[in-house]
Amino acid sequence: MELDINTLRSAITVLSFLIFLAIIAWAVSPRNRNNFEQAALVPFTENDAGPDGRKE
Amino acid sequence: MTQAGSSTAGNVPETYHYKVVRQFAVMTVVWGVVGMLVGVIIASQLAFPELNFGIPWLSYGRLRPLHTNAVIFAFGGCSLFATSYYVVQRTCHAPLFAPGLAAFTFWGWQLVILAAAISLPLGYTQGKEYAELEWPIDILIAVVWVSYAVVFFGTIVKRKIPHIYVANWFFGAFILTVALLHIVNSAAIPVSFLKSYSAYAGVQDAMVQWWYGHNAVGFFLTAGFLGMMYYFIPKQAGRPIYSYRLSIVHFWALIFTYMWAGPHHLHYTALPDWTQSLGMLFSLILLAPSWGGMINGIMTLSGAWHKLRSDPILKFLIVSLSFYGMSTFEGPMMAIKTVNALSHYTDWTVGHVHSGALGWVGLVAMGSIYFLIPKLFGQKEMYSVKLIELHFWIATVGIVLYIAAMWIAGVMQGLMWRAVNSDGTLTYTFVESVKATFPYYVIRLAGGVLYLGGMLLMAYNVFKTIAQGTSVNAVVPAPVDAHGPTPTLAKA
Repeated sequence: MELDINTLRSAITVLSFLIFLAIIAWAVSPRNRNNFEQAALVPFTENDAGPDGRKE
Repeated sequence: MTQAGSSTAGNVPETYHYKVVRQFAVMTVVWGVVGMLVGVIIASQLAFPELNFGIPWLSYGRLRPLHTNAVIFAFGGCSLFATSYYVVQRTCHAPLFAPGLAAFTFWGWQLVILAAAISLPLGYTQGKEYAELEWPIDILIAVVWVSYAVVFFGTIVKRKIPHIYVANWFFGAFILTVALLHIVNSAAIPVSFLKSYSAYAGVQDAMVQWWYGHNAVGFFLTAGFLGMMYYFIPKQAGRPIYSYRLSIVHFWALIFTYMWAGPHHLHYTALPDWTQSLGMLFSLILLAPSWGGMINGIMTLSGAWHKLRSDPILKFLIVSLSFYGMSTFEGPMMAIKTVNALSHYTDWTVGHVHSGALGWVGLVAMGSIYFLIPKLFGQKEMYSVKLIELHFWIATVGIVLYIAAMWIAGVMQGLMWRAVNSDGTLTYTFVESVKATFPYYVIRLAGGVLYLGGMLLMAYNVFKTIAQGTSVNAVVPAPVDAHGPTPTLAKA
């Protein structure tokens, strides 16, 4: 097999795919469940300004 | 949650920087009206070409890029700036990093829009679709965009809570990718102040252009607006996103896939066959993450569907996702080479783009701005909720008229162009297909007028809301403990 720029390109494609699989495993891992449920609540960690906001 | 803000100097509570959000939110509405008006004008010109009036500056070829630039970069762009600056502050519990630079992005972006509005009708263009602006304007765009990235990511760095909420991932990807796309595709050799030639030639130039063009759809018009979706739908529905894990898979799947889909714009051209097939394959794969994201957004309403009946803002947000689902199904289908052989160069493409642009991008942006305006101007809700409802229905009917007309027109054109007699000659001349399209152009015009009408209602509603309100800035919540604040759900 000849090692040229195309070998590198193929390697990066395969590597990207493996990284993607690792991300899926990380996302669905039960160990991270709590963490993600916490993150989903971030938009609710404060009240909206609405009429209570500070006048500029 | 307590109302008390964190004290910085003395007892003056620290507030978020809403001024730049207000400016961009208001300009979203202004440029929405302008861009859609130009759209209605060019739709009229296609139905009645005499409306060019023989004036070069008003000719279709010059006004069409003005329309696309105005709706994508002025209307869409301002809505993205407004929502990303709002969301990043509130989900990081941190005021904007470098507010002066944020102000520069506002004035710089308005200057870009103004320069486009002048140079395009005058006929100055690089001739690349969605990248028409000449090189001096391109440089200004690059400077503004890098400043935008500094403000956005600077705010993420100074966040007070451990998580980077998923909406910020989408906004961040949108900002980074658009910088990359714009700088690479705009590379050009200037020959004078307002004339330049692309740095690439031939089929490479075409491929760079559609790598840019399709990813502008994927990151400007999709990832950015998905950032809105992931914040404003949970907020308006009063419940967290259906599945946070799905949102992570959604994000990374889009990131890894979109970059490869561009070649489907160049089917049956000088582009090598394998590249076309690769583009087609990745376009088909894109269906999965797109629908995953759509389901994630819509299912957020699970158990609270009744809210959809009474809340017009939620209608905007949720129906935008149905259009997202429709156009991300239609897109992969049209990327199949045999289907593309029928659809390409016809008005089907125009219908497809507008089902995404009017249905998805437009509606989700309008819903988000309706959410923002009262909060930025110290009001409980918009001046008239009834008018939001009316806007929603007018816009929806307009979209359906528009896309249905363009589907029929497109398929008809495709069939007429490929029809051959038994002796191998073409059954129809080109002008016969133009003649047959006329009624659909008129229906499309009606759809566009309705959509513009809805936008005018919005402008009136926003004006009245601002007139009775005052500019307010929300207080940054006090840091609670090392593990971040304990989240509580507002009344669900």
